[in-house]
Amino acid sequence: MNVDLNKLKSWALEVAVIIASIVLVLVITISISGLDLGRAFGVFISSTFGSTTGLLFVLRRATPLIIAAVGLSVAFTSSFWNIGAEGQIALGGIATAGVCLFTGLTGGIAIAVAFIASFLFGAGYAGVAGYLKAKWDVNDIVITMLMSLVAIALLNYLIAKPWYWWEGPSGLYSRTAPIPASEQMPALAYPLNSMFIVAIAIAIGAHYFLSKTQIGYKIRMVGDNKMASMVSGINPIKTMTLAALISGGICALGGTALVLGEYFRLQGGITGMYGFFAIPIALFCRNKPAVIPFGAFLVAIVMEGALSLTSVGMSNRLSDVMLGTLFIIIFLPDLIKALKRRLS
Amino acid sequence: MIEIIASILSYFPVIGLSALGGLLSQKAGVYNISIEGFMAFGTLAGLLGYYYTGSLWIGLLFGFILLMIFGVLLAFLTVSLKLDQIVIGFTLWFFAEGLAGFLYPLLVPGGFKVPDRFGGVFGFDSIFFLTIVLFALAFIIFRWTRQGLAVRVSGESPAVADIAGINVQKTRWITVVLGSGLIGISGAYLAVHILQGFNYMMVAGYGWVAFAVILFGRWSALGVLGGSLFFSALIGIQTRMQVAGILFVPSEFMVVLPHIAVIIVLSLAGILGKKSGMPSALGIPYKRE
Repeated sequence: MNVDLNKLKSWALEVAVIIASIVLVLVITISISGLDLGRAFGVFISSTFGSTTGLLFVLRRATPLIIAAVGLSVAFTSSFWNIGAEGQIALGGIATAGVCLFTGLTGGIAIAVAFIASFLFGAGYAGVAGYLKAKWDVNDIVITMLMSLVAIALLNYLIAKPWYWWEGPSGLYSRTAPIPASEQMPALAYPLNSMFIVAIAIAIGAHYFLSKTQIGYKIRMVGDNKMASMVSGINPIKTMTLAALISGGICALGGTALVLGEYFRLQGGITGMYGFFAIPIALFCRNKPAVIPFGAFLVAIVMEGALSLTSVGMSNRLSDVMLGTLFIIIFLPDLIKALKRRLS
Repeated sequence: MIEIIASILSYFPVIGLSALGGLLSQKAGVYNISIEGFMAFGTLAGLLGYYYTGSLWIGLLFGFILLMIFGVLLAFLTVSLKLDQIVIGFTLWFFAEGLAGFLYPLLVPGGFKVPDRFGGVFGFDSIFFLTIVLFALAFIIFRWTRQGLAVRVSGESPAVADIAGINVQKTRWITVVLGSGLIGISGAYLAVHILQGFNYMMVAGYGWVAFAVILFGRWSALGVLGGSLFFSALIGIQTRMQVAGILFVPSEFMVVLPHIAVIIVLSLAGILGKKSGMPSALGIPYKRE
């Protein structure tokens, strides 16, 4: 096998820099929160990659991240800035819960229809924004971002009113009834669910789609150079809209993963910032679906570890600081290159 | 009557100042995608300023100064190092938002409420007038001064600016840093005067509304002023109706009505409008040939 040693080296260096930076940020935040460093790191490691259960929790957390980041990579490849994955996950969750709870369908059919409905909901959402961008150059960042606030408002409305499940006076949350066991995705080894395998399959499928098919080639052409793609006979409006449709559809399946593979119902805050965390993952993995599961795994470790630290008194905002930091770390190589250029 | 108009326009300084801040840097050719995050950090800064000194004005000053520091970071990364403005914008958005949420409980254990508000006349407070004055100033500077011309040319065709002896990098640095400071004031005002306390993610998408107002206002100070008035009125009407219990849609949707309006208006403007006054070199780092 022909392995480019230099490429491998620079990649390894990048990963090493990322891990070192994560450790550094953890040391700083743990210290200013006044916690014991050794104990905090012990908790962090044992709840992530230091134990089998921790590892399974990390993989479960990686599931919606993989799906959403793969979805985003399709849009980003066509240079459509879909940053509304958070809203698409919400819509996917809504569609999934709607099908499984309110259509009367049962078992495998319900699951299949839920997947299709979820995909269509997300595709519709991103497709509208994609078409507006492709045809009239309407700013995609603002539209997809604001639409996700609307989608989350819809989710909050549904669980608070029409889909609210009254579980007696002890009920605390706004949430729907649980989804019957026959319509849940089968468990692999608690807490990991078979949705994880679906996520990996989606990543592989998207890799094949983007790199091996003709439509994938067109999407890459439009993203690289719109003018050149037009010259070679590609319709950029159609192609970008198609990329947006596929992107939104895949992202929405992240919501299906959360509803059928983790919460088994629809509830508030279910989107859990996964849609935002997916952005740096897609960018860091250079929009390569085959690499995204590894990036998602790393981010899932950070999210899971940050959450575990709240049990020893860490602020629950840690993972958001980590998100911002991750973004910065991801661009360290570019940053170093740019700095070198300036100094020379 | 005039009091009602004033209360409907209570969000005007929030949208206006942040849109003006974003406009300033965009005019010179640099995107500031981080408005939402900068406003979030501005809320923290404003509350800290008030917490330590008991003065609302110092709260706004804190917002201005601390966010200029973020502006320095943004300018260094995008103007000097020429990194991708969109990606760096996301970075600083999340970083500022997360950092504000992380630092507030550490710095202000237990939290607090601001018992004070800015005074004014007819229900319009002093910051409302300050915002109007700043818009007028921006209009005059862009239209009639050398400095304003330097900013516009740097955003339209930096190479020409360079030949004409304008320091493009310096111009962009100044607009990015000052613009970020204005966004900081907007966040600080939101925290100390309107919401009077801290909540995580309390900016609630208003930063994105401000960003959209810049596009809607076609990069002109007057257009952005009009857009800010229009969208802040929508937010004001929505808030008043919700307080009064008049709901024609469920309350969950009332909150996002202004956002829905932005989506519709921006799309329609794109579909129907002539091509905009967008600075030609917006988003493109300047490299000397």
